[in-house]
Amino acid sequence: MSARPKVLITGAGGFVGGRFAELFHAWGVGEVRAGLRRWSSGARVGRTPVELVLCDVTRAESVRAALEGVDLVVHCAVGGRDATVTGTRTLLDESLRAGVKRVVHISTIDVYGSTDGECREDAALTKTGREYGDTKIEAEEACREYLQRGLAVSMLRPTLVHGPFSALWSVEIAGRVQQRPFPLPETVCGGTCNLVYVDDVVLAGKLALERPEAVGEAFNVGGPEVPTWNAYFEALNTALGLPPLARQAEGGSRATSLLVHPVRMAAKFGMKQFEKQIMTVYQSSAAAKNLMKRAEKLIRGTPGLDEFSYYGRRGTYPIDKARRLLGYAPAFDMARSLPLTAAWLRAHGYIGTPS
Amino acid sequence: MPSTATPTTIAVIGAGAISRSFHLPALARRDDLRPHVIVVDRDLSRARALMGEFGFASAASDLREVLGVATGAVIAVPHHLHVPLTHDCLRAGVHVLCEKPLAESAEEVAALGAEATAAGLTLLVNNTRRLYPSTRAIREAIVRGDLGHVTRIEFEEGGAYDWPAAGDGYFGVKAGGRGVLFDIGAHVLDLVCWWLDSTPRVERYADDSYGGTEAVAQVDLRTDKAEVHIRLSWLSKLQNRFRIVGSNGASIEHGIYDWRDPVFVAADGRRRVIKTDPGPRTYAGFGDVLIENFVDAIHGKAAPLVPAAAVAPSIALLAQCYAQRSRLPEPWHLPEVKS
Repeated sequence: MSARPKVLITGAGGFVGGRFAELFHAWGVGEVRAGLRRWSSGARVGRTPVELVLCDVTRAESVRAALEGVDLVVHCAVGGRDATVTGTRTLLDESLRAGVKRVVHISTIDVYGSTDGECREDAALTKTGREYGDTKIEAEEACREYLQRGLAVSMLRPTLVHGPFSALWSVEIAGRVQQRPFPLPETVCGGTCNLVYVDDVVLAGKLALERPEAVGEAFNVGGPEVPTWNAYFEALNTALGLPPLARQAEGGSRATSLLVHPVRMAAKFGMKQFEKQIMTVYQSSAAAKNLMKRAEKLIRGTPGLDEFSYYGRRGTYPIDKARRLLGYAPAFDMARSLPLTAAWLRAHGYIGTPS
Repeated sequence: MPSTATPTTIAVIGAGAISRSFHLPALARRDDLRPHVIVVDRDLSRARALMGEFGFASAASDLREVLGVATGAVIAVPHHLHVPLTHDCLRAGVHVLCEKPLAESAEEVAALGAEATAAGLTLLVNNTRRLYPSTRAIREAIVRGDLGHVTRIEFEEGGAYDWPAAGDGYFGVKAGGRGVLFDIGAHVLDLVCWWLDSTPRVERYADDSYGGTEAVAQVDLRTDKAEVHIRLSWLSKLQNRFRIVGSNGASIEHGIYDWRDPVFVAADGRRRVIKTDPGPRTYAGFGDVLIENFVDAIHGKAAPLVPAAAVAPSIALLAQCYAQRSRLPEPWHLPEVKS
């Protein structure tokens, strides 16, 4: 490997991949090549002077071109089955051909299924019927197959990745905690909230690329603490400087959720089957636009039925193995990370604007 | 559509997103022009595909192949290529309709404008927002003195970047480190200068570039009578509105993409609609207006709606902003973390 290895990051237009590109560049982890599925996803990563290339993992020729001269790969690209399973296979295949030295595949704790209790890396991987976790299991199977063929692959299984640009665990939750009353009752949110700040995931990725012990291994990647969901909601609310959360009672919250459920299902079905037609109506009629916005606000502001069990789950994902083999030491607990996230949320207009 | 006595051959330079969605459809709607349109792109297969899609005459991979035959050229390539390609066209006696921003400095604008004038050629710039009925009506209201004089403009525009860019010239080093300000800001600063009928000075400019293209920018401008605050983003959805306040306490607030007539709010709170002209209020309609104006200007039947000189003040402001560039405070970007 040359003194300055070239590192390809796939999915660099996304939340995790974008942060890998930014921090690797800042830390001087080789020469960063940011792989984008399409040029239009380059706005964030283009702020740094890293090399931008097209890398659509569903197209072998695109991957082949992106891998030219590459020593190391961090594989963050994700999507439907095409991208996550076939795309991962394509990336691994082309990496093997290109003589790539090390590959770090970003997986997920969803590979364990919806289990309570402690999930260590040797726990069974369980399909649940949900596409994200199921396809990540198949992607890990591909990694193990290519490991046998001589490619030095490691797999990271981050917990719930939060931080700036996290649509799910930061923006979405921030939207929720601005609601009064806060729609998630305290009685159902006592489960474990396995947060990991995105910078800690990047740190784990860097260590996995560097440490020989990482080859062929899978690692849980979590944060330095495991709060409850209630603690997370309260801490984010405090970091955002909002008035105390006024929690909705469980009975009322469940009743609202039940009432909104048919609207949620109809909207989901409609957008899946008739998105183009719906958007045409949305654009052409002020009344329809208003109605749809109200429906969206109602759906977003009301917990889904599955959330009542989700926030009560008590699963944990120990990171002892990553600590031991990688020397991984997550640095961002909530006290350190949430002020950063809150500052980002405020700067990007997510606080104080109607949801 | 009006026809011209002699065929007008238009070469569209660059077969990217703006050509495909704006210029080429407008040209295709003109029966008199469609048989004489040449699509030019270094990716010849893409040029040919668009030629076939719109029923045009031919395709080429190099500007030099068409300079001898084109009457006019539509320059629709990444920003940093606007000046050299416009110059090539003008030097070859070809009229130019250039995408915004025309150039990176007022000096370049002046040079291109002088070159066009000396050669008797049209140089039209696609600052589309000057064609919006709302922005035109607002300018008329300001000129009439409906606001007294303007004391404050607030402008906020942003959304997750979704322009279907076909090439690598929009972000990072290849874009010359000029991002959202050069892209959306070229429209916004132009509107501000046009509305104020003057060139404000840059009080402060900050963005989030770390050596590449900025995705968030904040601009504070000032004239002797007015202050201007602009916020732009490629990363998150902002209000997408502007507000203009006058010395008489009246104001105009309007959505950037709101095609309804804007509302004037008097100092006493009474509201009235500012009537706009019945012109087009769709991008297809603006495309038709622009192409018609280009062809008419080529044949001496009309003055260009947005000539080079008109955009010189906003281009000068863009350059001043970049010259005074400072970093937005982003504590989350590089927290001290052990790597």
